[in-house]
Amino acid sequence: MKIFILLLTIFSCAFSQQYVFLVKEYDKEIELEAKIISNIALSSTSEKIKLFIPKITKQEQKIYSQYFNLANDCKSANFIFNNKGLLSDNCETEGKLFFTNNYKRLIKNSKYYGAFFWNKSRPNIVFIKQRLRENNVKLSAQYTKYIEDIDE
Amino acid sequence: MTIYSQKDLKLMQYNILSDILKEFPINNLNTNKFGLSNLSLSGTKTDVSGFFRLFINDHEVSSTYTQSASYSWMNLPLDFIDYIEVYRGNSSFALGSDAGVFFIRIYTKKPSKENGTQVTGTIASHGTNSQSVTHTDMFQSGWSYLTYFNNTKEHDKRTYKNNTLQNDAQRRYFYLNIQKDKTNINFGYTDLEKDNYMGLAVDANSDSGMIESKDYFFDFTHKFLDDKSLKFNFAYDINEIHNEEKDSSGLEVLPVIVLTGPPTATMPKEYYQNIKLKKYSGLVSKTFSTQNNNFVIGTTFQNKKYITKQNTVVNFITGISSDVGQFTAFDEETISSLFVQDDYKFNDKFLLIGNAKLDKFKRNGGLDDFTSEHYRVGAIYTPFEKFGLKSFYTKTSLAPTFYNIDYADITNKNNQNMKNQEYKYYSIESVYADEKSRFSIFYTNVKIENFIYYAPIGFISIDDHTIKTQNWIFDYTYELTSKHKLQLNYYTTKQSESFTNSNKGGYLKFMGEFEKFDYFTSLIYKNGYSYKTVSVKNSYNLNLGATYNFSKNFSMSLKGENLLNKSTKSLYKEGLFIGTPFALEDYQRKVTLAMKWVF
Repeated sequence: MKIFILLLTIFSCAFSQQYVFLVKEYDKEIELEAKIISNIALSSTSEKIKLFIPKITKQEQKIYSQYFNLANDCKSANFIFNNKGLLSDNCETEGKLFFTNNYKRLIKNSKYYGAFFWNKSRPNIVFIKQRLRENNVKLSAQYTKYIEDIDE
Repeated sequence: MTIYSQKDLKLMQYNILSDILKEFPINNLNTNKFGLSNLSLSGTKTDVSGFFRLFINDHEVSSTYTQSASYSWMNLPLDFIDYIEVYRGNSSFALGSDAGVFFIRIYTKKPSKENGTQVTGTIASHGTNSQSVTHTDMFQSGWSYLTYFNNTKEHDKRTYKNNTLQNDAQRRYFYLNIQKDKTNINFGYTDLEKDNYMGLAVDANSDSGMIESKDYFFDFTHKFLDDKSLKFNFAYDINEIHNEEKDSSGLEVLPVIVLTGPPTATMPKEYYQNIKLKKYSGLVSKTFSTQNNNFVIGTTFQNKKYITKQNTVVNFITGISSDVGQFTAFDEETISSLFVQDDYKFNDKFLLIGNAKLDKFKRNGGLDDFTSEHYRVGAIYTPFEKFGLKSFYTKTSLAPTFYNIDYADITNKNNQNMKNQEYKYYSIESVYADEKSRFSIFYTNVKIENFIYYAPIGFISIDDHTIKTQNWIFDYTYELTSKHKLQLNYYTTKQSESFTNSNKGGYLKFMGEFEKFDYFTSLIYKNGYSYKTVSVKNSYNLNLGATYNFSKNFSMSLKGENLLNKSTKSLYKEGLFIGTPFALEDYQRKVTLAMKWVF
């Protein structure tokens, strides 16, 4: 398995900024995830993105809405990010891009063209070459090094 | 609240929980007479501390017998831990835990973020060594799990009056966390086999003895509804304790000593104890949230059973062995609770918080049933972006434990209805923080009614006066660069009682990294004190450490602890009942070499 490590400055060795009181729920990870998914989605299609996250939490809703127009269901979305493994089988694949946060789900289910996931406490991105072709996705050059060629 | 992040744990080389507790403000980490690490409030010395609660993934792991986290959990290895939160005063009641004054909440690494295996090995002075394996995986279905194994062998000893007090121990840990979205399952296990150090020997040096303990727990939490606002939790805990000890000068097993004749007539010279404690607990809570308000209501249930399998003594004079059975008839306690919690945000600058909890205790063995109330109100006010104030008032009560009742005042055996310890805890904290620095002043004022004190004749409830303490903590953190941090801390305690432990202290910490190196240094100070004929000098615990990261997956670390060999000292006594006090070092100078490999 070839996995390229995404080195993110936000998760580099810098200490976090000092705080007065930690009152708000800690949401830095979701913010990071939302930024990355936003960059990937914008790089994957020229269409206006309508994102659907199955069983989205209130906290995710608050943060993701800063980067995306959120869809209430799979039908009205063109980009689906399945980050909890709770996507219904009824969600039709036609005209939609599917992304996940689980490497095993990516390998086993051909509807996903890529994944953003964690390994050894480090964030990783992987795209599957054949599935990029099938979905007519032409990624920008910055993502080329994250493309894997697997036997399907 | 103080947070120790995974980065702090790594840079400071905090290998086990007690590494952190050593520097804890307004507390002292002592070694008790059984050679176990034990936390005492600043200025005071206790062998068993029932005032603080220890949690792993929101499951309380304090002993059902003593309400203390002694035995193995105080030495919990931290290589599978994500972060640690420390609360002073009461924390939220929404976890349904027992009452307390300090709360340490430990959270394990998220399996979904690890997806790998980590092997850690350490070797330290005197032959102490430890091996750990952490494995995490995430399945296609979204379920993920973390498993952790650790085996630690510790070699430790002290010298008292030319005699060696052995304190060797072997600890093992197993942890399993399984989770998916709304479900979190935890299983924890630890066992300990160790020398009994001084034990209960009248001459503070038992001829032979050992302590064995096994702790297991299973904890299941599921959140219902799309917004996860309905929570269900069930947990089952088992603690098993086995002690045996022999001493020719006699053993101070207070519950069997009768004072109607000479104490030696009933004092044992051998003691064999085998007990088991079981605890079932459940919680159901519902959260109602609006934009500015969160309201939680819930109910909890706990049933604690104390089973005495063996309690055998061999008489000091006659040498006759007899099984004395349970020390008291009190062996079951049921607690039903109702709690509410509300936090209301007036605006971005002002937050009000209120908690209330009602506990109904049912106890057997002729002890009274009772109801206790706990309240906590507070406000968080941040008038400026860089400045804030936080203030809380907590009224809580700690019920006597099985241990308190077993070892209750032997001069008054007919009345074991010890009163609850009533704590009134007021705190105020002011913080100034900018991008690089954070300065905080924390003040607490604590009043304790019916304090349960371990007197030479057993536990007595001090109900004729109020114990008062005041604490100040000053803390300053400065980020020298984005990769280097400096932290200064100083605290002082005033109390109405005479000091039996250090009451002032602080630390200076520096941590950072450069290219492939991580490094730290810390100096922990605790002031000296005098008690009767014993005078204890100031303690300066100097620690230094460095890690070399050969790659992202492999590193070696070297750490030196207590390099000046000026450890804190704890008070002990020699002799029956009041005895003669003496002091011994809590820990030794130590050098540790560690290896970490991730794959």
